[in-house]
Amino acid sequence: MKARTKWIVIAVIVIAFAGYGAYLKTQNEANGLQQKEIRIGVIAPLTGNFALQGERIRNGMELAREELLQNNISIKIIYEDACIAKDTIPAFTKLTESDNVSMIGGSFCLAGFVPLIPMAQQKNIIMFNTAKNPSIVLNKSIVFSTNLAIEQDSEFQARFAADNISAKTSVIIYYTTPFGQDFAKYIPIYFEQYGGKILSSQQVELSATDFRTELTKIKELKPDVIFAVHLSNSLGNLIKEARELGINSTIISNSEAEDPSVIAAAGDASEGFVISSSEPEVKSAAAIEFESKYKERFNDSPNPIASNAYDSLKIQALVYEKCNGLTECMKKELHKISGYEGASGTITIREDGSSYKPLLMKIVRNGTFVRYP
Amino acid sequence: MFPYFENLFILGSIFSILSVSLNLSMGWTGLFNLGHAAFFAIGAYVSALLTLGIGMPFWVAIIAAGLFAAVFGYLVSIPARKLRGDYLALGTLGFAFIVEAVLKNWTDVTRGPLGIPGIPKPELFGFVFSGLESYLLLTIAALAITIFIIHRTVNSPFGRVLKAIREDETAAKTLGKDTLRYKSLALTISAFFAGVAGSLYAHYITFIDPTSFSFPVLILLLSMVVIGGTASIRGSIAGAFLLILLPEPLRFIGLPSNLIGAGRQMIYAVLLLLILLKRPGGLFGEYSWHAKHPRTSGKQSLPAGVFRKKHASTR
Repeated sequence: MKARTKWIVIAVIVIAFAGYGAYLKTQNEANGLQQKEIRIGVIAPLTGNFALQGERIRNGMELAREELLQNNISIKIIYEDACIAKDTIPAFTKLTESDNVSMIGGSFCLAGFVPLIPMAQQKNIIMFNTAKNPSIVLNKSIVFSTNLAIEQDSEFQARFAADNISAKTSVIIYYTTPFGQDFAKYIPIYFEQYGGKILSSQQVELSATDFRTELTKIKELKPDVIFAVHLSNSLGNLIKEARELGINSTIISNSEAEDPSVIAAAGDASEGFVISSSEPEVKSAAAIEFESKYKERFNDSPNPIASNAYDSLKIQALVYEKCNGLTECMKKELHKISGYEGASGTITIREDGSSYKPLLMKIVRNGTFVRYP
Repeated sequence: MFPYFENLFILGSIFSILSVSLNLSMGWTGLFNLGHAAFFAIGAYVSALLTLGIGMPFWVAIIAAGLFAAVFGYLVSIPARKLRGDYLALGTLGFAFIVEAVLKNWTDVTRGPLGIPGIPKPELFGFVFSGLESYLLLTIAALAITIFIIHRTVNSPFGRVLKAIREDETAAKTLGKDTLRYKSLALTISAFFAGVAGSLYAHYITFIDPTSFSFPVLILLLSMVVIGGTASIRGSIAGAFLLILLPEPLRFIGLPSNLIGAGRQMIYAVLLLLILLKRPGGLFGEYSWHAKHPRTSGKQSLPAGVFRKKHASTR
């Protein structure tokens, strides 16, 4: 045998044994600890384009885990860094086959989440989606979320634009993911239903940070309202560039834009920026406590992704305790959740698996999101 | 067998088909082809649309996927065949971006970023390949056929012309070989197998969207070929399995939650660098970019970008 072939064979054997040894170790751990702790798998984007959102998911879940531990509920969270199907599928099989997790939480990337749905249905494993829910993930029997359906948020934004600021014309600028696409589908439907007219739909890349080309076209159309669907710093840049180009239209976005990084990136241009929010009229004690603990622990303000991840884990633990981990029972209990005072709002889980939360509008005043008057 | 490992071997087999076929154009013919992920995408979408849209059986759809990708491979080769090296790379990369843009924007057909869910599993005489074991057998069979055909191709007179083109295209032309035609055929065959792999991938994952075939996938494919070794079938397979399997043991390392993502990626990168340092020509590379990685200072170096046979005396 040639030296290089030997070297390759040895490397493959070492990798295989290391993997198998680690597999057995975690499985033994899983069997041994099954009685003592709840094992939750998390498949989130901890690196790459969505790393910021992944970090917030982890922060929210860690905070919830620590609080549950104080109440003698021990949870082991097993994180997997994955976003697209090629990576989420091995992560899912590892979590379910080797780690024996009871539920999967924290999911954010739809391109990686959707292919897991048939697998989870086959294994009867409950999965929680942290991001807002497009129609593709609804009514799947094992998919739940503390977040809204995109349709609910779209309808609310469109109604606000038509009724509260009497907008007659609008454009929508959105990024090309199932998330952005669903907003681009529902906002025009509802805005036109309320008497408005969509002048144009502009697609941008998820990774885009410069929107001048699209905004220049939008400026010529002079819309009353711009519905902007993007995330964090990119959304902040979009707002800033719109104002720099002299666009005075009201810019509206969804509740996931209630993010300090949007204001930080937009600077003074963020004044007057409007978003939907699932924050209750009167903030619950849970929400106030979560916000202060999050700031103290991570030296950062939470955003809706963090608060939804936090609520997801709390609800998962709640139903697990009630049902002793039996999936069918947990599904039934999840559907019974109504008026749950969470950090992300007042949660009622609907038949389709997403949550209904009362919404209100917020506006940026003096660098902070405040209730829209 | 454990489903966890079965899944990895399915993905490994599919990516092996991709890396072996990419090696045909890149390793044996010397075409720096950056459009392979696009052919993979074309195969996946064609197969998904034919089975879902008109209810075509998987077995017809997989051939159609390969043929569609091959047609595009041929079409790309027409403007690209007069290009060499970096220019060919840019040309094929441009094609990959065009395909990605079409997948995202031709929403009436591809559903754009929403992707195509619910792609059916293959079925043969009433037997549905829904289990991991059966799908693994299917992908291994497809890989075996791919290896057989590529092996026969590169060891035929046709394959020797491809190698001659890679070594010195001008010399091949002076021997009366229509090098443009040969390059077109190499790219077409390469694209055919990428399309087949795309079909297998789509029917396994059951959901495809443009991000499944974006730039990081192309980088992964190139890494598989480079790490496995250019112009080597076993190198392509070793590279594909290595890059699919290598991250897996890292999943079991108990890193703190705030280090999991970045920590694993850093370890992965260091392991890859160690492999490349130990074997700069790839694990089983028959050829290496000598000018870029001179093995001994005493040897005469070749002009940049020219492949040179390794261990020439042993062959």
